Amino acid sequence: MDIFFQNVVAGFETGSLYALAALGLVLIFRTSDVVNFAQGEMAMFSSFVALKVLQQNVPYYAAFLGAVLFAVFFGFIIERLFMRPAMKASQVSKMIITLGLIMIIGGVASSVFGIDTYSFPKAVTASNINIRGVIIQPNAIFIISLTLLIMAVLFYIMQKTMLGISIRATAQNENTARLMGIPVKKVYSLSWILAAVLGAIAGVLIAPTTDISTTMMMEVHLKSFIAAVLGGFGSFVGPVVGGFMIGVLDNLVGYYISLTWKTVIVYILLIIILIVKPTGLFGKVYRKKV
Amino acid sequence: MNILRVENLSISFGGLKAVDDLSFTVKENSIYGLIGPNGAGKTTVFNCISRFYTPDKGKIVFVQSTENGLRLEHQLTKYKVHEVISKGLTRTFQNVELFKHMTVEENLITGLHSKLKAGFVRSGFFTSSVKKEEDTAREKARDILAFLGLKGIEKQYAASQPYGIQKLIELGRALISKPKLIILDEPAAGMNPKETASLGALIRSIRDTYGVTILLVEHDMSLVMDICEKICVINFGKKIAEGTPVEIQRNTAVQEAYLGKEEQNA
Repeated sequence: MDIFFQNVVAGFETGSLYALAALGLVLIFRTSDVVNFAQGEMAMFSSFVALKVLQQNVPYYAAFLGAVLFAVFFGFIIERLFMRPAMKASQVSKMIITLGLIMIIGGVASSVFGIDTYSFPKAVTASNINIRGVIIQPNAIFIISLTLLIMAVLFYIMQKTMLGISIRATAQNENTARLMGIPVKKVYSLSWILAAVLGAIAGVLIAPTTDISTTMMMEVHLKSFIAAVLGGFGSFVGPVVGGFMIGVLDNLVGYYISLTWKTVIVYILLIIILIVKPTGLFGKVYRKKV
Repeated sequence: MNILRVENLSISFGGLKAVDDLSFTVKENSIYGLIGPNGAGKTTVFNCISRFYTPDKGKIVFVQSTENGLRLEHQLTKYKVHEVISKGLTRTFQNVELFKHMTVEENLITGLHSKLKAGFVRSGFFTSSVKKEEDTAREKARDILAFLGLKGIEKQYAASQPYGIQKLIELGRALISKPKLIILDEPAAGMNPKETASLGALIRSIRDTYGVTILLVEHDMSLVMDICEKICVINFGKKIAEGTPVEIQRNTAVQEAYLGKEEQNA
């Protein structure tokens, strides 16, 4: 039983990183109906910035903060430079732009930061807690609670505040939103900034596990997509639950069934879930009147 | 006193002159109708006023009465779509344009963004002033819904409402920003005669209760003749007649535009 719980805890830890990355995806999707394929690359770039700051012999939290501040700037620039000129373009064209961003950001990263792999410290380095044989790292607790907190704040802002209403209104009907006096350009700008920040947080937190390199986010990014699809792109709770599920299932299947086949088995499970519930676990079905 | 002056407005799409040298003025606190056969350019005029289109030529002047009795003249062509509402001008659409996956109450609240004191980004924070503003917003939304006779559907999704109710919700969303001029694009479209009659009464009571001027485009002649004080008829983008409902009904140019020319030797 200890081993089971150990796997579950580890699953929650990696799962929350998938969830953080997925929240960024969902945020952009909900404001502009665009799937940002470059979310992982943006996170990677911000993680490198954290590394560079840390190399200046500053404390960990300063590096963390540095990455977040950079992400604010980064998200703003990307929206202004690449997305805004294409505001009138179709959804598909915008997604192709984000695909192009993968190459641009990846290329710039390898020329600026090089192709080496660097290790990165954990956020919390206190000694492990042992609860009846299950060893829990304080770092894991930190990551999981941070994810839940961010999810809760995003959920609250989107559902309860005027800002949330304007973001949702922009997503659903841009022209009418403008007519109602909502500054839609600011909404887009803000959502890219927030998504970049969420990506940066995910990147910095996962760096101790994956190490920092230009390819560090490959797997996380893919899994965060699946987390978002599984939980439903329409909500903020969904991707977090989806992320946790993938993390936990990955670990359990890997331990009890087969390490080599774990990814395949997990994805088969996910496909089955999506067959039963095509809009994702938390996706809402709106009945349209015809 | 005029609230809206459209002067020599022209716009063309490719080779087609959708609006051709059109001028009309709307008096404050009146109900003004813009009518014409299909494709006459009515909605295009509306889209120019609400700034979705920029006219090739001409002026659109909106007169805003401020609280201290001043009258400000705004050249609407200088403003962007999202700025027009803060001057006191808002509209509804021919095909209902609600935020379908939001509740009725939230739909109305979107109309209040132009009035936000907290600023756009700050409205996402949890300060007490923001909270207060949100509470008053919800209260206002409830008041308007009560006025429209839509009490009790605040928390339901807009998309789940019947068409007639959706049109009223859109009207409520236009009203909540306390506009001086509301532009209604075919408010009676898709309504039965009974609903149309009660809509006419509602439009009048909106004008009287909220002190707004109403400019409407409508195909339903019974509604137009019933509630409009002045009517402008356009055809192929040009004004062919202007006057009271009685004058318009007698106007031969209008009859020709709608029914075709009578053949002389027939």
